[in-house]
Amino acid sequence: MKLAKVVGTVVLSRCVDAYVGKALHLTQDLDESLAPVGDPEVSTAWQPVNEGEVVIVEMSRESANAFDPPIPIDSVILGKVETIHIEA
Amino acid sequence: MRLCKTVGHVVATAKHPALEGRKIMVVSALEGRGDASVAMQLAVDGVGAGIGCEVMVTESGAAGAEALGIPYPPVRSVIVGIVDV
Repeated sequence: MKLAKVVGTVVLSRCVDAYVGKALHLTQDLDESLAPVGDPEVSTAWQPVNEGEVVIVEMSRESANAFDPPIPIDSVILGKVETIHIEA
Repeated sequence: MRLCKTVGHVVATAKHPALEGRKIMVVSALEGRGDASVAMQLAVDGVGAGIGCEVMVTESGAAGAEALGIPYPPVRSVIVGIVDV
């Protein structure tokens, strides 16, 4: 599970049936100083999120469990982050 | 499973029901502390760890399910133990 920022949206012209009605967002990983790290990835939103929001992203097979029934994804936005507290 | 240190926590009000009432900790690999080349790693606290603890984190959905008591949780990063140091 990691911290990321929503940097955009993805619109598909064709997709598997399970993706119909699901929002896809581009997420950029953030490091402990909240600086971007790595390449943007596509994540499915479990709830509506807006560009610029900091979110919690889970990867791999378990992300499919965020939906009932599970859908074929490997990255999901699980929540919106309000505050981050890190002790030096 | 890997050993990490808890360095903080995040507060998320709007989150998946599986995370309701659960603490989400910021964890850092013991040897990778401060490494700017990795994303901030988060884990659901399953044992009541505080900040500054050396903890054991599982990255398996099945293990996380057992630890959290949820059949099919949408998370795989779960703190399952505090190291006795």
